[in-house]
Amino acid sequence: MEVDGFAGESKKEGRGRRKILVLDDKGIFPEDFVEYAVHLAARLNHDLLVLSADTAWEGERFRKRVGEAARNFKSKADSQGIGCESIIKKGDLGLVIEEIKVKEKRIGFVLADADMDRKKIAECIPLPIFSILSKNNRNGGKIMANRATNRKKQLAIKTAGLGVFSAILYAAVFTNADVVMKYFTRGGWYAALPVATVFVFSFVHGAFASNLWSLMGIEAVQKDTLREVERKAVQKKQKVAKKPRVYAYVNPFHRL
Amino acid sequence: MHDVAQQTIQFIDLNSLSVFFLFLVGFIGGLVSGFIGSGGAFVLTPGMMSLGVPGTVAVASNMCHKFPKALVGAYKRFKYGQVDIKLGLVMAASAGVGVQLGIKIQQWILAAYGQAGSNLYVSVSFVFILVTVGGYVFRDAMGSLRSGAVEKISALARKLQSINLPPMIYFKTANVRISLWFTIPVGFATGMLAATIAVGGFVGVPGMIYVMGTSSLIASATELVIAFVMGFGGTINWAIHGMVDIRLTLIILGGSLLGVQLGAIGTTYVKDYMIKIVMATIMLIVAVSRGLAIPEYLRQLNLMNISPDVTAVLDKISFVFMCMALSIGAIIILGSMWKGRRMAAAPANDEQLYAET
Repeated sequence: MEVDGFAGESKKEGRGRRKILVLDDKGIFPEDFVEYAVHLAARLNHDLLVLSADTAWEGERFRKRVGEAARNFKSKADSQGIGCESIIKKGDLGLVIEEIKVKEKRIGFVLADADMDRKKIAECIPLPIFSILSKNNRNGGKIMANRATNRKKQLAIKTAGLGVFSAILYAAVFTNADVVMKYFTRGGWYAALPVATVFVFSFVHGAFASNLWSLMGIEAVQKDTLREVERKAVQKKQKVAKKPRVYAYVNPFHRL
Repeated sequence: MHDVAQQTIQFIDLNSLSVFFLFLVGFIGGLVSGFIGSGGAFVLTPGMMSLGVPGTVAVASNMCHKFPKALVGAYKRFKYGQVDIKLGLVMAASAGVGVQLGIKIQQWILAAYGQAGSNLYVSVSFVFILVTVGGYVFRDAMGSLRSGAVEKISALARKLQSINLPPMIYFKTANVRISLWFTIPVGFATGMLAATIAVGGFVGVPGMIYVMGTSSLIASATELVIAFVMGFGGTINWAIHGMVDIRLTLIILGGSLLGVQLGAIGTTYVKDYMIKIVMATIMLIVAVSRGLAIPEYLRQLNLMNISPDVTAVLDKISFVFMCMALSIGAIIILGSMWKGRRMAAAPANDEQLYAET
C-alpha cells in the first residue's frame, strides 16, 4: 500500500474529538453525501476523517479527482465548524482501512457509499457502518452509476482519439517509408531519429493499448496474495503500534 | 563509414503477410514479456531472418522494439506495485559489464572457430542453461502447484541474506536486504546471457528469485527495468551504425504494446507460481528447439557425419518448436487469466444470488 499524501486538514481545534471515518473508493463525493456527512458530524459533535482508497491504482487521475472533491468537503465542514482531514491511499481497501485503524484510535463509526463492499469493510473495522444511497435527482437515479457511465463514455472517446492519433503516426511513417528509411538508417547523429520515434509511438500507442483493454473491461485486480509485501508492512506497523505492557513479578521465596 | 555500411545492407520489401506475421509475433512476444519479464526476442530474430531480413538488421530492429516495450510494461507493473526500480538499476549496471564480456567471448570464438563455431557455442549455451535453470524452475513451480503453497524464499537466498557483507542494500519493494556482492554475479550472468542468446531474463528472473530471494512477481516485473536499460543502450549502438529498420520495429511494436499490457494485467489474476510455470515451459521447449539446431553446426565443423537434407529438416522443426514455445506460453497465460477472472467474478455472483433469494 502506498500513501499518496495528506490532502490537508481544515481545522486544528477539534483534534481531541471522536471522528467519523468517511470511506470512498471512487474519488467522487456526491453533494448529498457530503451534506449528510457534515450535518451528522455537526449534530454528533464529531470530526470527519475522509479516506479515499485508490483501489484501482489509478494514481494521478484519482488524486486529481479527490483533490477537487475534498476541497468541497472541507469548505462545507468549515462552514459548520467541523474538523475535516482528507487522506488518499493506494491499495487494497481492506489493507488501507487496517492501516488507518492502527493509526487512528478515535473513530466512532464509518460512513460509506452504498456501492462499497460493506462486508469487506466490516471485516476490517469492528465499528458500526452506515451506507448512504446517493441520489442526483428526484427520480432516484444514482450519481455513482451515472458518473460510471460518463466515465466509460469519456474513456471510449479518449481511446478513439488515441487510436486515430496512433493510426495517423503509422500512416505518416509508412506513406513516406522511402524518405524515413533514407534518413533513419544514416547512422551517426541520425540515430536519434529511430530512438525518438519509438518513444513517441510507445507513448501514443501504449496509452491507446492501455485504454483499449480498460474499455474492454480487462483491468488489473488486486488480490490478497499479491499484496504480500504490503501486508508485511502493515503487520510491522501494527507491531510497532503495540504498547509495551508492564508485568509484575512476584518472587515466592522472598521473605516478607 | 556509414555510407559503406548502407550499401551492403538490404532492407526488405514488406507485404501484408509479413506485416501480419510480425504484428502477431510482436503481440504474443509482448504478452509473454509483460508476464514473465522477458521472451519474444528468440522467435522474432529468427522469424525476421526467415522473411529475408539480414541478421544484423533483425537483431537491431528487434532490440529497438524491445526497450519501449519494456518501458511500457515496467510502467504498467510499477503501477501495480511490483517493480523494484533500485534492484533493476543495480542489476542493469552489472548486466552491462556482463554484456561486454559476453561480446568479447563471442568475438574470440568467432575469430578462432568461425561462424559455425560461434553458432555451436550459442546453441550449446542455450541448451545447457535452459535445461538446467528451466528444469529447476519447473520442478519448483510444479511443487508449488501441487501443494498450493505460498511462494517461499529459497534456502540459498535466506543464507545469502543472512551474510552481513558491506555494502548491504535494502530493496524496499522486493523487501530484501542483501549484500551488493551477491547481486553483482546475478546481474553479470544476466548480461552475459543477453549477449549470448539475447534473452538475459532466462537467468535474471530465476537469479533474483532463487539467489536474492525476491518473489517471482517482483523479479519478473523488475526484469523489465533491466530489459529497458540494456535495450536502450543496445539500440543506440545499433542505430549509430544505421542498422535499425524502423518499419519492422514499428510493426512489431504495434502488436507488442498491446501484448505487454495484457501480460502485465495478467500477473494480477494469477498466483505467483504461474510465472514460474510459464517461464520454465518456454525455456524447456526453446532448449529442445536449439538442441535440434546443433547437428547442423557440428556438420559444418566436420565433427558429425550427417546429410544436409536432414539438418535442413531439423532446422525447420527447430523453428516450429520456437514458435510453439511462445504460443504455449501465451496459451497458458491467457488460460490462467481467464480462470483468474472467473474466480474473481465468482464471489460477486454468489452475493448477487444471495441478494435475489
